[in-house]
Amino acid sequence: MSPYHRYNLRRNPFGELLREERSRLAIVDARPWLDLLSDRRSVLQFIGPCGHGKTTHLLAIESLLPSCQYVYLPEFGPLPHVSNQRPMIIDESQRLSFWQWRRVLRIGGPLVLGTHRDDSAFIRRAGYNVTTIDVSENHSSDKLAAILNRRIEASRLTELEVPQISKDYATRLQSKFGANVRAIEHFLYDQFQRCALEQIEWPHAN
Amino acid sequence: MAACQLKIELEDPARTYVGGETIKGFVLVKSETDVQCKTLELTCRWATHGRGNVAAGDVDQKNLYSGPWQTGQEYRYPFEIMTAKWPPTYYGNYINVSHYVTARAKLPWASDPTTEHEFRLAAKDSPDDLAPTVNVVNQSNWLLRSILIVIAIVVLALFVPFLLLLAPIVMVVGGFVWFFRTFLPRQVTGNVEWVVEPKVVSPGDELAGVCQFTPKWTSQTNGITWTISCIEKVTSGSGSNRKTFTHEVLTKSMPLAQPGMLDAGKTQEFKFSYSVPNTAPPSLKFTDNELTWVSELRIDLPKWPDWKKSIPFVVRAKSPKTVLQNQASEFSDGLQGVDDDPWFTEVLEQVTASKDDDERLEAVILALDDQSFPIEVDVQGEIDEPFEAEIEEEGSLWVSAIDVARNVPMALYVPPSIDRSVVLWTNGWRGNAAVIGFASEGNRVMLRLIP
Repeated sequence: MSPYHRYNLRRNPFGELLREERSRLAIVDARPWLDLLSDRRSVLQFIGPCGHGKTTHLLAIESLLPSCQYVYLPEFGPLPHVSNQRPMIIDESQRLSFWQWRRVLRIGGPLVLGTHRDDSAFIRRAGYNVTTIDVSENHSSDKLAAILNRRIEASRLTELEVPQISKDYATRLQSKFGANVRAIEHFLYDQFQRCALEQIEWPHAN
Repeated sequence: MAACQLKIELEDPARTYVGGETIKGFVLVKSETDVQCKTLELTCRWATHGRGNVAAGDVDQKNLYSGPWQTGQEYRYPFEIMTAKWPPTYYGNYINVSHYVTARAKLPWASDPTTEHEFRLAAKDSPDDLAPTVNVVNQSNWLLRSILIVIAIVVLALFVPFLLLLAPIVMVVGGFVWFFRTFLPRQVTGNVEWVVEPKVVSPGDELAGVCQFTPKWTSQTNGITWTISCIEKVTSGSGSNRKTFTHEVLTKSMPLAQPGMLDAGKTQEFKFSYSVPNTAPPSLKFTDNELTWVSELRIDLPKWPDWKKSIPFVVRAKSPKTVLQNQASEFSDGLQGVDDDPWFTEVLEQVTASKDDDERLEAVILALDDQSFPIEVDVQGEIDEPFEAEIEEEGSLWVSAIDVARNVPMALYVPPSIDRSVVLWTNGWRGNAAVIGFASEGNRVMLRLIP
């Protein structure tokens, strides 16, 4: 029998997900930003360190705008072609070269950016209205518990009860890892896996 | 509320199916409203889950029904669907492979209700390339391959100028690595001939090797060790978020020679063998997830780069016969050996249950009064002295082991009076031991071997 069935789960809930599933599980209400994205001179910039939810925000917007193009800029190797399609979502936009920036801004918006670096001053000089969202702010323990419990829910096996992350435990996780949700998920993956293989209760620190 | 509810019932849900076998069952539909079903689609598929990026494949697909469903009615559709030949079900630390039968009702203007049922699959044999069964039915492989080939050619063309620039740097770095890892050790050991056969083994088989070399210089060695490792290696994320994780499923180090002198011109020959455990997981290979078995030989040279070389080998899937026998034994009254000594089983349970209560644990150990028990264990390899241990003599060692009959992890203290190489070398080692505590690291019961 699968070691996860003991918890009424199909798998370790904190493992890697397919992109579509990750997008479906995002707890981000992207609708308020859709109005902004009807303006061709509008740029929406999500800023924050690794693991804090930039890509999750971008995926949530993508799910509401099926006609937009999503471009991920890798760290190494050639950058992909950035087309003329709009709206456009650019993940890791801090990797755009000077010439690519010029070309992207010449064509117009709306643009949605995920970046580690605040480029708002530079983009404003090109005549755009920039809205910056810092994804590392406003992370309550309630929201973290909701994010983690949604992942558990997505791994549910039957209608019976599944384990839950309490608000107290989410607070403790935040005091250890800050707003780095990816680090929290990695920690919980190892913790859950250890419990599953040793057949002991989880989460024991709730 | 969904327009209808789906449920899958397998004819024999507890059974382990053999790769390529047909699985039989029913899809039950309970309709909540009048609805026109475009298709009731049934898919047999496998998927990896865990730390690494997900790999998945559809194996077989059937359309069971299309037509109307009426409010409050229940419908039952029998099915027979083919399972994958490979990969087998596997539950590890970073890699898991699961097989599912998935039913999906495609409804107009509504979300499609879906349900799935996991089943266990054992493979008849491992394919030579370990490639999983994928998209057998409804995918045009030639089209996919052509697209991949075109993408590969484009990427290569883009990378060629980049590679030409990097070539000198790569050559210099590679030269340094070769100098320190191959050239310098070979100046001492001479040419080392090392053969491990066979390259493909099944659980329970014997892996045998021969190592022969004639040292060029007379020198000291800290020992020669042969190590068998089974490693899960997965990659998650992409781009700058791409990370690789490894987990050692099993490591077993066997000393071939103790520290001593290697005389110049005197040929050294070592023969060794390893019995692959019956519980050994099979080698697996997916795009971002793999489980590999490696055999490594290391000649430890003091104040000089060690000579070492790894030879990978493939462990085939356990034969379905063995899997089915194991499955049957799970339902029998008890595992073989447990009933031989129910008192020892009780002691191990008590010690494990007391692991978080120091006073209770101390009371249990005191009550045992150094009583000895016959044990049969599979030794996994040498470990550091557990934090809780209070004995350590010169020449002794600690090893991790699994009790064969009860599948209990153990930390064994091997006193100097017991030949350590015999303990490290023997699968199914038998002897006597006294329970002395519980090691929190690795959750192991601590025992002291009695000569």
